[in-house]
Amino acid sequence: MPSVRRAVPVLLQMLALSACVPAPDSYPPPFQRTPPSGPEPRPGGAFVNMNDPNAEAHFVRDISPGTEGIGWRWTYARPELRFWLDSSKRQKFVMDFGLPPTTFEHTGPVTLSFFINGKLLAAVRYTRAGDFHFEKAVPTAWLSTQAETLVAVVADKPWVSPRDGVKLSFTLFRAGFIS
Amino acid sequence: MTQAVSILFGAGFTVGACWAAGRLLLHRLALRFYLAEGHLLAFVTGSACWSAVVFCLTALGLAREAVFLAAGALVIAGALWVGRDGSLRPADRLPVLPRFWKTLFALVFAIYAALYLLNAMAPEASPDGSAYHLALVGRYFREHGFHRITTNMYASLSQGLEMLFLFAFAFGRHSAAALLHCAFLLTLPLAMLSYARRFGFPSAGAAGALFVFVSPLVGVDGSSAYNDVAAASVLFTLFYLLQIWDRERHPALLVPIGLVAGFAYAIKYTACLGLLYAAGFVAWKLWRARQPVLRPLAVVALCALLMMAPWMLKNWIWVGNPVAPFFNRLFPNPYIHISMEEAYFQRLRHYDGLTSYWAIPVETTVRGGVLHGFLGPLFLLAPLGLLALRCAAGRRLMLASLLFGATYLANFGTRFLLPALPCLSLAMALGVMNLRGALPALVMAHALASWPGVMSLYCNSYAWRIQDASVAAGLRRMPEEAYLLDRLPGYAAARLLEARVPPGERVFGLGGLAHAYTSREVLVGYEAALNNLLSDILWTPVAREYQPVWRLRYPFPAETLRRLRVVQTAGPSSGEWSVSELRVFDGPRECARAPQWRLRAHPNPFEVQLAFDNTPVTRWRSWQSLFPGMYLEIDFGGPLRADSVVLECTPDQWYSRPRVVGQLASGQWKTLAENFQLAEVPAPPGLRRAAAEELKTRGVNYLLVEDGSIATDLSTHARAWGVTLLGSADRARLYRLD
Repeated sequence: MPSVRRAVPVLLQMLALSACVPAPDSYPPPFQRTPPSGPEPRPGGAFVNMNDPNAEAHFVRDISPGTEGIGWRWTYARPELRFWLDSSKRQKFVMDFGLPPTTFEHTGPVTLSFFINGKLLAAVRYTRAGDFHFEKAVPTAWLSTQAETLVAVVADKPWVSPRDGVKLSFTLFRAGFIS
Repeated sequence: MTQAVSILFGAGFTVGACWAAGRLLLHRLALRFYLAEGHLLAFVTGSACWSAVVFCLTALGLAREAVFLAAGALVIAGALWVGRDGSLRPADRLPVLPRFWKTLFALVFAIYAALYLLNAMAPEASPDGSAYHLALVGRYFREHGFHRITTNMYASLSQGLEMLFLFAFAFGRHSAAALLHCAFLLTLPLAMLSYARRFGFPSAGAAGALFVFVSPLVGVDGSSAYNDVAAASVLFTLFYLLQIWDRERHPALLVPIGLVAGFAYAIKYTACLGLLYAAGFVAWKLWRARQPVLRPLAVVALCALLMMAPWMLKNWIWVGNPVAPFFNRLFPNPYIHISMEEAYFQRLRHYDGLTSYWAIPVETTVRGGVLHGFLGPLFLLAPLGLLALRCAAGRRLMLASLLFGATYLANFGTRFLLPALPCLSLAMALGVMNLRGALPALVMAHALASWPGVMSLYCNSYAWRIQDASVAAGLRRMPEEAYLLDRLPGYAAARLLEARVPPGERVFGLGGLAHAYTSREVLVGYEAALNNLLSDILWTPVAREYQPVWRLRYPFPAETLRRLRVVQTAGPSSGEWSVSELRVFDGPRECARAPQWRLRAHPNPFEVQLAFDNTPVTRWRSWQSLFPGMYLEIDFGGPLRADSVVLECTPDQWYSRPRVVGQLASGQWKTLAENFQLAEVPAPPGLRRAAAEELKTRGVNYLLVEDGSIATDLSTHARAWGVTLLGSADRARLYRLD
């Protein structure tokens, strides 16, 4: 019996070694890669349409993951976007958005506050439902070409879903900086 | 309607070929059975033979509709030819079934058979059937044979039933395969009834057969392209044949016994216990009768080997492991990592939501949401089977049931109880056979509780079961596409691949997919060693713990070395060891990696080059738990002067304690450095682009990722990755690497 016990592992090893998978004893160094150098390209630009393929690169928070209708998205409690600017001079922030009648009839007039890198750019009161265009120049000192530019738009009275408590602020079509 | 006819023809023709092969074998062996059982035993035994025939045709690259048509026609014609003189006519009829039971059995059987046939005819939407059983079948059919598949561990499992699926698939595609499995489902209760009639307890047999047949999990599994019910049916046939052999001692019976035992292994590894049972049963009976044991055992073993060997050889030749994807420590190979196998085993024993082993009885019989299906509340009465221990038949049934169900300890999914179920059901029925009215009451209660509309009242809403059976879907009056889009998660994503990925392209996928409905090759992260590596590469730019931000520097007095080893001294530990890059320095200058260098690693020698490829997104990993003595080695192929070694490592291995040893020109080994200086550095730039390039180097030009984590990074940093979004479906996104 001891000889059988000794033979079993040997036979199994022989079986393993006789398999047809090539298993070399050692390997040469492989082809040497040249790692990419320099910074990665910017994920996005200074402006985004909500139905752009890489729109999500601009989202920081509270923007719906999917587009609706002709390419707009819902914004939730405190929507925030990021942009990458090539120049900080003579920039205007623009945004096309909507206040749908279905939410407006519950909220009434809404005030939207526009923040650029945490600084209040404007607070505008909208007294009716519909589609709107916002546009205002941004002080050069607020902007940088070396870092992301963060834009938050806060509604004072988002609509709150009675079913699940989700807050909807407005619908967003496009936003960004133009010079 | 044409499609429905194709489906019926595909399944029917396969059943016919199996039956014919069985009839020819039994005729050749001069074995005679009773009327009903003869056909059933011929079908199951013939299935084993026909599966082997299809394997051979597929191995020869002849998996084509015309070849299958000719082969099937030939075997059916052969069976009809040898049976023309009545030599195949059964010897006699089985003992009769009481009228009451005949009526009850026929009624319940007919109702549930109709339900199962409709479900099987509907577009195949089962999770495993669409994920891999039929995906592989479809691939064999498209490629007209086997091809070496090293990127999908499921391709290494034995696929005896899939060979029959392939034959049916050739004519009727997916649903024909499901319908073929349904043939085993319909055969099982009939075989159980025949067995019970032959051995003198027909009423209990009818009840036991219906216990199994109407069980919710048996129904849904057996009418899908799975293999559990076929395995249960084959194992019961094995039991049945052994009981006949025990009574008649016809030596020729050992041939079908061996074939069927081997076929059980060929259907499912876990059914290999059938061979153990057969060999043990034959040896025990012969030994007790003081008759020669070796020769009959050899017949059983050789016949079983005929069925098992093709699968073992295929694996041995192609992936270096006859029992792949398991036992990779014993058969080390580049295709399955050991920790991957361990994680797979772990997953099989761990079901989300199973809080205690005490929950298993209710979960497997009533709830079914956690363990993926339930047998029906009747099986809470399984201990009734113990009452059958009073009689010899009951003891045999219980022993077989225990043995066939032993592999349940390796996987707590309810499906893994199915091999034990036929014998257990018969034992339960035997146990209460003498209790007046008990059996009809149990049958009727079980049949009622197992009806789709009723079981929804008590089972978990996520339990796998037949929820309805649509005649319109079965007969294809409803478009298959609409049915599958509604019912099969991963179907829309599969169709997206079909539409947007060119033929022949490889897709790396992190998420689940209905692989059976796409012809594109999708490498899933956990299914093979290469896939593990691709997954690692993809995560490296995103997860800091995958990035080589640790520098372990080992300075030592300058030496001229022939070889250098970095040896792990820590462990044993559950963590792994990995090295992204191993660099050797002479002063400030890194010694260039010369072509004459030879690299070795232990364990996982196959991926040693990943520590020497100069890219931060790949690394050599031990892919098994840390133990002292693991090493990476460079044979410089000549003397090389060095005074330090740098290991670039991921920061997730605080437990690791490598040291550096070197072989001097004299051949003597010497410890060069015991301790390292640790520095944490920023992640190298351009990881995303480097990862994309590495994926492309490995033939992957498309990514299918689930929403969240990686998908978010791919979408946010699409330019850095160099990817383009091609579409999304089923919460998955398809990207092209540009």
